[in-house]
Amino acid sequence: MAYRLNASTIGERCKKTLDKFKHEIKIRHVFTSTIYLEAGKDMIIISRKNNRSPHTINIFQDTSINSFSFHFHVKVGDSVWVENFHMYIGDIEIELKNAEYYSQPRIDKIHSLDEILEKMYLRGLNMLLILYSVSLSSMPIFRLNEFREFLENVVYPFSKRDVEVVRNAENYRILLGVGEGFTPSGDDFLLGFLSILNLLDEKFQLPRITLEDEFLLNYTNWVSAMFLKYAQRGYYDEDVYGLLKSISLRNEVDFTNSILQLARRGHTSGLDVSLGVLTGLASIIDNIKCKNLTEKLVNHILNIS
Amino acid sequence: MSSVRDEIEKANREAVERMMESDPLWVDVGVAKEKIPGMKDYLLLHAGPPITWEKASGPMKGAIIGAIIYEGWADTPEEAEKLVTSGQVVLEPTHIHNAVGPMAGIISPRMPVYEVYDKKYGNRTYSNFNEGIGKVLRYGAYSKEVIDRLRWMESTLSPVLQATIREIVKDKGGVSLKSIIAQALQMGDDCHNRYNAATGLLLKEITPYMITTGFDVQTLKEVYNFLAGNNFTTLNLGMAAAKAMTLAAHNIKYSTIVTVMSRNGTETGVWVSGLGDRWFTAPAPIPKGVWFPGYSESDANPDLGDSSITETAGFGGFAMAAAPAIVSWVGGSVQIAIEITNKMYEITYTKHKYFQIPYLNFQGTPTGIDIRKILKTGIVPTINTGIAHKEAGIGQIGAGIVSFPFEVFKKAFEAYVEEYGI
Repeated sequence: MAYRLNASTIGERCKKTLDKFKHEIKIRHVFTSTIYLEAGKDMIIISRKNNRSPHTINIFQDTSINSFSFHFHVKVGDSVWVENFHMYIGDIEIELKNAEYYSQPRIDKIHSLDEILEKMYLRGLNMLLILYSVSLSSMPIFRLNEFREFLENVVYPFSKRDVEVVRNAENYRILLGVGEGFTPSGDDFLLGFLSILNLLDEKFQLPRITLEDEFLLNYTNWVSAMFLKYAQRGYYDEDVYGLLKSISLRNEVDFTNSILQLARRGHTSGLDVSLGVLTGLASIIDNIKCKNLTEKLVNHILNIS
Repeated sequence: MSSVRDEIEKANREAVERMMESDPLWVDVGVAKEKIPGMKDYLLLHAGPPITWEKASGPMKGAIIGAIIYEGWADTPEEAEKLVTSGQVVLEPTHIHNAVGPMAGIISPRMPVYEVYDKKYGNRTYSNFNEGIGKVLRYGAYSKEVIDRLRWMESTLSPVLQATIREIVKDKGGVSLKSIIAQALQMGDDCHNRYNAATGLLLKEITPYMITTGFDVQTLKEVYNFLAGNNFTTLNLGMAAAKAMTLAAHNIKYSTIVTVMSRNGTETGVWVSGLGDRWFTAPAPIPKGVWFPGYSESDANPDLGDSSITETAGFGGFAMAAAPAIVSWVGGSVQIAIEITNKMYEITYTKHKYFQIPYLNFQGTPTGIDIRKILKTGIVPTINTGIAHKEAGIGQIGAGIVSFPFEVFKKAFEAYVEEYGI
C-alpha cells in the first residue's frame, strides 16, 4: 500500500518538466529528506525541507513523523510516474493537486556599484570568515590548491581588469568537482561567483559567462552540474535567490539574513556559495572602480593555513 | 600572521578552560548591602537585562513591590510603585554586580546573601536565599506570608547559616560547590530544576557544623527542616557557583563564548565573553510547561530569571540526560531530555572535564556556548525553567522547557563582526 504525502509547493520548472517528461523520470539519489529525480535533461528535487526552488517539490511537514526517511520507501531504480496530479515514486504517492505554485521573479540587474555595496561586501566577508572558523578541522575550500590557484590566476587578474580570464570557460575547470560535499566546494563557490557576475548590467560591458551543460557534466557530478546549469539560467533556490536579490536591491538586513540562512546549509556548502558571490562582487567592483577589495580578500585567504 | 580563526580558537580555549577550572566555594553569608559591591540603600537588583518599571512584567513588578515592603520603604503596593516610578528606588541587573537570583531575582540591601569565592581565579559572586516554591517573592508574590518568610530568613535562617559556614571556613576553607554539582549530576540532578541530590549532599556536609554553632535546638530544627524541606535550597548556591565559573570566562578578547544568558520576564539577554558587559536582547518567550492545577499557558508570564546561568556554565538543562526524573517536573519525556543534551553538544565548545553524565557513558556535559555554532546550525540553547503567573502577586504556576530566541545570538554575532572583523 502506498505511503501518502502531500506536496506543499511545486516549483515553476517542475511543473513544466513533469508535463514534458512524465514517463521518462529516473531516481538519481535518495537521502533521508530528499530525492533527486532525473527527468529528460532536467532535475526535480523532492524535499521534506522548507527551502523552495523552481526545480523543487516540497512535501508538507508532518511534525508527528520524526522518524520518516525516504530510504524506507524509495530506492534508486524504482519506477516513477505522474498521473492526475499524483506522483508515484517507489511506494510513495505524492498528492500534487493542492500544492502552491512557486515562481521567482527575475532579479533586477546590478546597475551601479556604490559604497553601500562595498560596505555590504566587507560585512559579508567578515561574517563568512568568522563562520568558517567554527570548525577547526575543516576549512576545505581555503585549503584547496585549486581554489588558491583560481584566486591567483582568475579572480585577482579579473579584478585588475583582465576580462579574458573570466571569459575563458577552461579557467573554471580547475574548480569543477573539487572539494568535499555532495555538491563539491569548488562548484558551490563557482555557483556564487558566476551568478553575481551574470547579474551585472550589460552597460558595464563585462562578459556574460555560460558553461555548457556537457562541459559541466564532464567535470562534476550530475546534481552539482544541474545546480550550476540552473543558476546560469537565473534559477536559484530561495536562499541563494535571497542573497542575490538583497545585493541587487542593496537591502542590508536581507543580505545579513541570507548569509546566515545559507550558512546553515551542509558542512560548508552555503558558506562556499556566499564566498563565491562576495568574491565575485569584490572583483567586479575592483574591475570597474579600481578599488582594492579583492587583494585584501585574496591575501587574507592565502594567509590562512 | 594569525588569522581570525586562530585568535578565536585561542580565546575560546582559554575561556572554556577557565570556566571548567574555576573552583567556587561557598565561604560566607551576609547582608547584601555589606557584601555585594555597589549595593546601596534604595537599589534593587533584578534578574536579566536592564528593565524599567513600565516595561516590567507582572511577576517582576510583584517582586519589586514585595522587596520594597520587606525593606520597610513603603507599606502598600501603591506607595512602592511610586518609589520606583519617581526614581527614588533604582533598578539594576544582578549580573553587573556579580550576583544572580532565580526568577525575578530581586535582591534588596538588607536581604541575606550567599557569598561564593572562586579559589582558582579570585572572583566573588553572590545570590539570595531560596524561599521554596509556590507563593514566593521570586515568582512575584508579595502577600504577608511571603514578607514574613523573608523576615524569618533574615532573622533566623541567615544567622544560623552564617555561623555554620564560618565554622566550615575555619575548618576547611568553605563548601566546594563544584564538587556538589559534579556528584549531584551523577545522582539524578541536572542542577537547575532538580537539586534533590545536591540539597542532600549540602545538608550532609553542613549539618555537623550547624549543630556546633550554639543555637538552641528548636532554632536549628526549624532551620534544618526549612532547608531539607525545599529541594531548591541549593539552587541559589549552584547559580552563584555558575556565575563564578562564567565570570572566569568573561572578558576574553576574541572569545565567542556566551558568559551570561538571562531573562527579566520581558526580555531575554546574553553577554558574550569577547564583547564585555554589552547586553543583546530580544523578547522573552513563554515556556512549554507542566502546569499546577488550575493554570494553563494562557496564565504564564514570559520566561524569567538568572537561573539559565547554570546552562551557560555547562549544566542545568544542558545536563538533562543526567536527570531523567526531571521530566515529571518540567514536562517532556526521558527521550526528549536526552535529545536536548545531545543537541547542545552541537553548539558548545567542549565537553566538561568534571561534570559528567552516567547515561551517556560518563561523557562530559556540553560546555561553552559558542555563538558561531548557534549561527551556523540554527540550534539555540534549550533550558528548563520555573514558570510565573503573568500577574503580580500570584507566584509559581508551573515548570517547563524553553529555548532562547535566535535573535539575541544574531545580534551578538553582528556586534562581534563589527568588533573583530578584518
